[in-house]
Amino acid sequence: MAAGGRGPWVAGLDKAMTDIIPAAAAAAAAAVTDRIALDAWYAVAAVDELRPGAARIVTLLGARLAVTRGAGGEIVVEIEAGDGVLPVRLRFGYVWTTLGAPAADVFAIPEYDETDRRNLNGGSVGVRTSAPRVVENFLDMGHLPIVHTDYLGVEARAEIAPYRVEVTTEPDQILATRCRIFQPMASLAATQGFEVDYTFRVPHPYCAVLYKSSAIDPTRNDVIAIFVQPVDEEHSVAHMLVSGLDRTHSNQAIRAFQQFIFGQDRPILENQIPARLPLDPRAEIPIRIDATSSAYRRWLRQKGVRYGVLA
Amino acid sequence: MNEAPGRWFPVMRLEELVPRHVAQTELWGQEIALWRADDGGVNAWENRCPHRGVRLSIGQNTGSELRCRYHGWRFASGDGRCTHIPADPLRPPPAFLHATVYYVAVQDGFVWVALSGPDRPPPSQAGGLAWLTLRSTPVEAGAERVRAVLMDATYARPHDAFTLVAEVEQDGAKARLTLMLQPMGPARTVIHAAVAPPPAPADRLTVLRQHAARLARIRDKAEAP
Repeated sequence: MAAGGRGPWVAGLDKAMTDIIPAAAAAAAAAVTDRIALDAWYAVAAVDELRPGAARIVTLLGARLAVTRGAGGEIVVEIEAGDGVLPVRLRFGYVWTTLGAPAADVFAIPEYDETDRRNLNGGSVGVRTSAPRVVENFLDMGHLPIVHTDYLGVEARAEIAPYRVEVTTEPDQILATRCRIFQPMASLAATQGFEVDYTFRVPHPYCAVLYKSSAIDPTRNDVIAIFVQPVDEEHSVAHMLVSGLDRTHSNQAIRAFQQFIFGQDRPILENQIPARLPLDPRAEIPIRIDATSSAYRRWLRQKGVRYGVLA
Repeated sequence: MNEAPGRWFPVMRLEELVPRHVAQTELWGQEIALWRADDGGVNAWENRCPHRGVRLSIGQNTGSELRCRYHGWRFASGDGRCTHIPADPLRPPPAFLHATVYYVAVQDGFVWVALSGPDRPPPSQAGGLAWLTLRSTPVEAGAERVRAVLMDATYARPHDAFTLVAEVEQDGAKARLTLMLQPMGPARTVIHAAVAPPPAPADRLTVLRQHAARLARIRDKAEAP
């Protein structure tokens, strides 16, 4: 922003809640030309983690933003470069904003509004990799018995049965259905292992939603979503949403479980090279049960997404 | 200095490549996973699973295979062929699935790697004589600079572009110090070193300290702005 150091950039800066901003990020912001990345909505902060009167500085696509919650609860997002106020949506417990002009609103998760659900933010975790690597990991069934052994899978039953993947245009998304896996501890509420049904949905280049059989009511699903905020092309913040039927455990305990699971993925994600997701199908070799991941890479390529990927 | 295709470079002392471990090193900017099978076979692979790009150095060395940490794919010591995919356990993995394998050899107490096809095994630098390998010294400087500092500081004679030989005082007698450079990247080099003849067992520690101090001085000099 111009000289003067007005408002959030100086006075209200809450250092403890500031992203780690790569030095090159500001320069990178000016260089973003990917229209799809610019015109998308992004979750940048959990509403209930914003302290009234304090600004939180976050980085989105290399641009520094200040997210401020006023004393009256109103939320404002400002961009440092350009000195402007950005559009804001409050969805799924998060503040969403955009650097461009989205053609549509934030995608829907209808289950979120069911009155008997517990909706809570599952935590926001910084990861040293691109947003698409984080999304692909979230869609990946094959790693569950290996990385989340004895929680989301067991090594003795690591086989993944074929499932169905489709790409639809209305709405524009990827849908993987009939995914099944045995899980000893599918959620904090699970008292025993069971065969879990999964559906995965990708409604946004950097966000995904999964539906998995609830341990409490087998006819309904727990919903977990990941909204990835690309800090720059190789740094991300993964914001998680848990919308479940568990009425006994505390928010803190459910969030801790979610973060424990993500903590197992993080060292994998930070050791994938290159950090940007390669879209050339010859760059990394998939097998049959990687159908969702292959569809995701194809979908990004067909859309022309360039941010956080290698063409 | 160029990548010298087909050339062998030392990357680690063999004794440091401990059983059931996967070590990581770098040669000309290329990350390498180094591991030793229980039968003694040494492997130097591109540090990247061909499936989803995860560093193999965070995987597990089972003694005969390297198991990727992400999906548990197993790759055989030797040819790097994929032998097992837990998510699809009944189908033999296609023959084309394998880790990218580099040329590797063990010589004079060091592991040697060539990124592209060498026409013969690495020549012995020890010349068939006993020598004592010293602790390798990583330096934050390019190979060219390290070489210049070494020549200056030890009066070393260049044996070839990446190898120098110096006459040094070792416990009151003359000894031959061989210095071998591993270019990790444009600004990072490892000095591998060995001395002949090996000191008497009683003098070993004193001699090792002398050499460690000498190499530390060389490192400081090469890293000085």
